[in-house]
Amino acid sequence: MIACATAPEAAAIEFRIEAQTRGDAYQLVTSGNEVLNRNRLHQYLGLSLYDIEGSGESRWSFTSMFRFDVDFGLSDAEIERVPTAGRSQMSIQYASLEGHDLLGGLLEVRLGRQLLADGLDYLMFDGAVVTVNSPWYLGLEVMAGAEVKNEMWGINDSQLEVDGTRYIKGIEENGDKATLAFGAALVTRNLDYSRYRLAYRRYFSDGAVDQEKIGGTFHQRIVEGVDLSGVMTWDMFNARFERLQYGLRVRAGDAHEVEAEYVRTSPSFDGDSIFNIFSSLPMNDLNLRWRLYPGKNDRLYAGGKLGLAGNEAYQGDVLYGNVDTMVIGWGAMAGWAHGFGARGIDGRISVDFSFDGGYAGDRLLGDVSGVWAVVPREWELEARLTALAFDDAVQENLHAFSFGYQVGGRYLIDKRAAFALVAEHNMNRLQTQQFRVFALIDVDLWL
Amino acid sequence: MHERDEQGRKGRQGASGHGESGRGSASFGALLVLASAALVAVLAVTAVRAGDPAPPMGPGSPMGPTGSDVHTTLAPGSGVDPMTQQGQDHLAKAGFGRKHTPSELIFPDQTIPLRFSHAKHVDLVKCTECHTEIGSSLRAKDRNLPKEAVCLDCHDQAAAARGEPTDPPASCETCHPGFQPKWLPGADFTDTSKVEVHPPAIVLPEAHIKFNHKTHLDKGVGCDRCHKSMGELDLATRDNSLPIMATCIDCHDGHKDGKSPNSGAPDACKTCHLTNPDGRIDTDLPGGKLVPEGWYFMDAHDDNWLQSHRAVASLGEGGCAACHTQKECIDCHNGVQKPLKVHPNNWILSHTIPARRNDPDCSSCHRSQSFCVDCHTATKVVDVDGSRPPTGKTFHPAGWVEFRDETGREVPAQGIRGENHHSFQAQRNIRACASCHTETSCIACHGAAGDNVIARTFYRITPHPNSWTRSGDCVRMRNKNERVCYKCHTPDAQAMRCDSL
Repeated sequence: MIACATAPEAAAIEFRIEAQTRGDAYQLVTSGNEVLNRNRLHQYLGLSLYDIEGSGESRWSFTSMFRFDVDFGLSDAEIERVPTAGRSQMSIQYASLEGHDLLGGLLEVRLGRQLLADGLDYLMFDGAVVTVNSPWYLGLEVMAGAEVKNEMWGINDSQLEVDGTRYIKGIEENGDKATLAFGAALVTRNLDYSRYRLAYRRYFSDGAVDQEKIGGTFHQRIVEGVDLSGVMTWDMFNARFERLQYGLRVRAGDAHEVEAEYVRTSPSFDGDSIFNIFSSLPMNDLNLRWRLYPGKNDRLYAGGKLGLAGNEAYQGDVLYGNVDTMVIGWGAMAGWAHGFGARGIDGRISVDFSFDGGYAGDRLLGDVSGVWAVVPREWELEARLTALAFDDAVQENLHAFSFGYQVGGRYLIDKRAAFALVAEHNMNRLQTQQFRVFALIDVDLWL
Repeated sequence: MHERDEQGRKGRQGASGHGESGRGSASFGALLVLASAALVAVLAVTAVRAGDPAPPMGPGSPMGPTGSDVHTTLAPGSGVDPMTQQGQDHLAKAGFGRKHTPSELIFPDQTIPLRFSHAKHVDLVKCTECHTEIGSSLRAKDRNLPKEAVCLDCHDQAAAARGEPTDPPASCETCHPGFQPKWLPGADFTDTSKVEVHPPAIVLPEAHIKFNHKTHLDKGVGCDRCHKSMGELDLATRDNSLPIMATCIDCHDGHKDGKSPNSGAPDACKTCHLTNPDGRIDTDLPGGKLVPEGWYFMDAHDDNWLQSHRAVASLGEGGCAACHTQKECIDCHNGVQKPLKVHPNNWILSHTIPARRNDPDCSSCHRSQSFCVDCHTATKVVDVDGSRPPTGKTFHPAGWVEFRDETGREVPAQGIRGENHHSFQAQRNIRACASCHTETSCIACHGAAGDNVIARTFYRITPHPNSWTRSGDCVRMRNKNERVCYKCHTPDAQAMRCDSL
């Protein structure tokens, strides 16, 4: 705002106002067959200013997004039962001043509340990110700030808090203390088909480490049509890989494409959490997907997946188990999508099937969805049918066949406003009738 | 192992009166075999089709122009003339699969009701002799087609109209397929506007991109750098003669030492793409939403994109920000209400299986302790204040905490853990535990603090792996954050020295 006030040419400033009202109402049935009503309203308000100050290619801008949440469905008893729940809450989702292409493209800065998403994690924080771009294909990104925590002073609502500790007033001692974070990353710039990022980040509070990670992310085109990507995150607190992910995508001719992925995860928690202490073994997932493009508007896919999860195998004097050291989950999926008109602007229909079996339970899903542009770029109708059979392997009695449908529509006004309404109805043995209604009013104005 | 899991589950279900255990497994095997066979068959068929040689399009080819007369240029058996749009459309559709051709969102559908062959002209005249205004064209929306008068310089239409022989051919139908002029009374055939009905007009919608022909020509970029192989083309259409993005980024690569002689041109998205006032690419084009198709990067926004975008997004180098704002990330990743397309219908009831398998990765959008616990508490999945859910049902199966000896007798803290024992579930995915439980649940039994009588005298179950002290984990974690140790141990406990367990 200060920069705005000092801008020499106020007329050049572009203002953007975004207002989005979302409401939904649905019902949940508890294990005791109580019906809980959820009637929620969420109001977003975004205020942004662009080209606040600029000379040549450099640009300054300010972006912000506020959110107000209200839950009309929670009773007093429910609020009491869920300590962190409340009927209404105001939050700043982000509010930052950004400078791009400063000093001839050498420098970029972002100050304020912001979201940082990279291979290490998601982080919502109040602070700064400064990026220095060198002329030698490398940039250095440095960040520092305080993690946004729900129980801290301010108007906060973050679901991205480092996981593992649940703040309960009067019991937890550290939940409302500031967690500081700093980090740095080396990133490649201006390479045609190679992108690499090596990052380090540390979170700490009261002198103790909450999380410390180092990791790399890359994308590399091997040859045209063959691409490789990877994410590797080493958790320095637990001394183990939190995530290893490798993906390969091969395009074979005009019609075929194959995508393969391996993901290995071991969850990390806040350093204050004892969830880090328990022995855990990584989950390994292999995914394979083949796509066929008969033409520009059609796509078929089929795939399979395999999940491997471990059990500890040690035979100590205290604990030993009588199960194998590996459990297996598997799955298969297939689908078809067709667009009508150029790029599916007149409508599209999708049919998807999937099956999951093995570890955790069985799940068979069939889903048909379609969108029809009654008046392209103005009136759209959508519908969806879902049939689902599932059988949970752990919870007794949690198995059912569920059938549900959605119907809805969207009205667009000159790309500046939209109104959408969707209703969902599900039927099954456990929840005989379940309804959900979702409505949205979206306004996006440039002044 | 799975077989044993299945048996265990069958047993449990049998006891609870539900006989649906194991369903789907046998039939699933058969389904897999059938699906695999179908997949192989489809692959084989499409591979053969995709492998068929594409119909040749150049001059001298069976489908190419073989002469200057209208009636001799039809492709044998096809009934189409490759010098016309119909012919080009036919050729384009002859192949199988999607072609990497210019986007119809950037270059909207064109109507070119002409009959024309570049192949027949490029050796005879320079590009600028017909496209006379190209050197001064500043915008992509400029229509740089030659005016009819340029054609008539060589094609003596008036003579043809009078019935005189011409070379090259010059009747109206030579360029306007099927057009038979009905001249107005008094017309002397030199002014082609003097007809009752005109031939269909060319429709070239405005391209949704920034482009300056003058700048490129002034920098010495030849026409054929962008409009490749014009000498081999009959009718030039969007699909066969306009550039794809790869052509642009040959030079617009942002660095001087690239492989192209014109390397070093600016590589910012906004150099070519239309942008919003905030500098982001305007993806909301009249023809639809402009999204990557994955030709250059693993960023095809296709059927699996919601799950697979992590690898690309986590590069964090601004690629996503070229089109998206933080709001779009936050809508899902910090949203209190997700877009309905993220999960299928009735997700709340059926999410337990995917959640336990962590597929999709729940933690991408939900943190166990700040999201899942709240919801599970509100819906009484979680015991509140130590009480059971109202119906007396238990969430966990039998054998969740017990140990038994060889005879099946329950013994404290040692013996055999059954397959339903919670330790196995926790080792596989402790996030599933943390979606209902806070640390206090674990400490109740696993804690070693002096005042934890139950844990100290009855269970004494250490949560640490066998190699805890030897591996250095104990020292490292204690040094980084000893607060967590005090949740179970007293500061003066021997365990805090990490030299024994």
